[in-house]
Amino acid sequence: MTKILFVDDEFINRELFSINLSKTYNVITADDGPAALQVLEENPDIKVIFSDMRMPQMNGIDFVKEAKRKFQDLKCYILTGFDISTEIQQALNENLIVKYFRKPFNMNLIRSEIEKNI
Amino acid sequence: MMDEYIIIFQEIIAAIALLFAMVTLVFRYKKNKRMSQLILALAMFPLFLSAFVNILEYLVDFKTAEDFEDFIALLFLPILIFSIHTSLLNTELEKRNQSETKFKGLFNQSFSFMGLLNAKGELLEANETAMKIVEDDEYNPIGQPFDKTYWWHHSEEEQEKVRKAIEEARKGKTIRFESTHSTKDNQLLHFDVTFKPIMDNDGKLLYIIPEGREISEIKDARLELERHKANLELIVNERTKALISANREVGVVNEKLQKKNAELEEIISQLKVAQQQVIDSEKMASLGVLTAGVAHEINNPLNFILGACTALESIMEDNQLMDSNIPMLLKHIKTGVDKASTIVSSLNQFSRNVDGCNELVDIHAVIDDCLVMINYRLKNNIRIIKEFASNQLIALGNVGKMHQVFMNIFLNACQAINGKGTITIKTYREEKNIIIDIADTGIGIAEENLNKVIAPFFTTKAPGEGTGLGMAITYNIIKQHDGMLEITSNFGAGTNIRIKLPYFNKVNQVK
Repeated sequence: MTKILFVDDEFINRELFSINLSKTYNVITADDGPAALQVLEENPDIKVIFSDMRMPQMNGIDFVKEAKRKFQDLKCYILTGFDISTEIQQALNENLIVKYFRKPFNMNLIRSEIEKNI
Repeated sequence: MMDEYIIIFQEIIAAIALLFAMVTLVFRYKKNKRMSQLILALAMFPLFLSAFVNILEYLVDFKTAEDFEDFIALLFLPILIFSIHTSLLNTELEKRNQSETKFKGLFNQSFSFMGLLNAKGELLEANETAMKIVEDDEYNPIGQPFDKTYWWHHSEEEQEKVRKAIEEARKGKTIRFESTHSTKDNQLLHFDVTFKPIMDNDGKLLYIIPEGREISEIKDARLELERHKANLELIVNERTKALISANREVGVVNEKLQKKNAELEEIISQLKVAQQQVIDSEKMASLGVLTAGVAHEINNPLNFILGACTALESIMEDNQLMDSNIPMLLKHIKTGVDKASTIVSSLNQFSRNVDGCNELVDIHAVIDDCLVMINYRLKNNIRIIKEFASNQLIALGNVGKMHQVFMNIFLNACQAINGKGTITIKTYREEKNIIIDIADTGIGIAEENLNKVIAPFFTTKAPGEGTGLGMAITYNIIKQHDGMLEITSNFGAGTNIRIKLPYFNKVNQVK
């Protein structure tokens, strides 16, 4: 089963993401950036990451930067409660992230995005 | 007998002599010298002749002393006449001498240069003043044609002048002209010269009198005066020129000052707008932080709802719970989430913290966002009529600021409508421009205020209701986008605002 990493400081979001996608994918969650990096350390086969933007300690983009620095071939997505910001736009331009989703997000769109990468 | 004849003859001769003497006197008085001398000689001749005859007669023998007396008496008459004549002549000569000395003195001592020419124009005399100026004691010009004399030696032109003057004087005219003379040390003297003809009683020319007065000093003074005058004129001209140019400069400086002044006023007014824009953007920025926070806090729970909904859907499918109401209820939940999400998203557009003017602005999307935001003000009184172009209309600019533009216009339109009314929004492309017409059925703008509505701080609203900056800021944003804002209004019937923005296509993308 394809391993998917979902990073969000909100417990409900993590739980709903897992419930909705765990039938098809092996969803691993983390509640912040450092925890997520730890998960990647332990699961080098993770290739697709969805991360919330606003989190304590590291925001989504900072985490993605760090993750991509340490691990190769990652496909990263940002989920945000805000509209697009300059930071996200820049990350898109630099191909740091593939796409961003605005909350509330449609789970089916997430699913089809994952399918493109496996 | 013979003696008697002789005596008679003598008497006759004496009478003739007397007659001649008297005639001579008369002629003398008439001053015809030559004629009188001739007649006198003729008179003397018979006198001496008779005297000689008497002598011859009486030399033979003096019969008596009385005869000798008669003889002496005979001699006496001519002698008497002669002595009278001589004494008369001497008196006359003396008188003449005196007169001549007097005139000679006058002639020579005069300050004027004087001369005397004969009728041919040859010099007869020149006075001492005239001779002195020649500075040569040996020089003797007497008898020379006057124009060839030393006085005019320096210039043929002057000689010609003199020749002509003599010519004229010979015709009886008095000539006056200015001439010059060059001294031995080459000093040029100026003269005022006259030539006067002297005529006899019959109008025949006897002499010509040339006379000259030195006017060098006068001439010099006059020249000096003229030089001063010219100099003065020059100075006056220069000063006048300087004044004119100074005046012109003052004019230019004045003009510049006025221009600067106008520019300053313009800048001040721009500053006021800019200041308000800063305040405004400060407000927007803090509003942005606020809305961003709010958006996040709302979007997250919305995400819970939508996520849970999705999960429920899939559980229902898996468990075959086929209540017909369930999908509909789930759809309603999703619709609610969508609507709430749209509002949050629109709100976000206003607080975008993006500067610059290079975003793609979807005009229809911007208008829709704004309409969502003012929806609460519309209630059921104001109807929105949208006549959008079928194609997407994209302008290049700042999305957040463009939201501000339409929000301002829509809010003004809402405020202008008392009770029920409509706002018609029409968009279309016209060549290279996007046109947006927004017409309301509000109270309209009075004609005298039409030009002022875009002026900063102009408002007809009650204090506290409006800053008078909305349209000023709107106008400035449109200007920043190379657009145009036209306001037409029918007071009492409504206002039409036309916005023209450059249409963006990929060909003119570079900016």
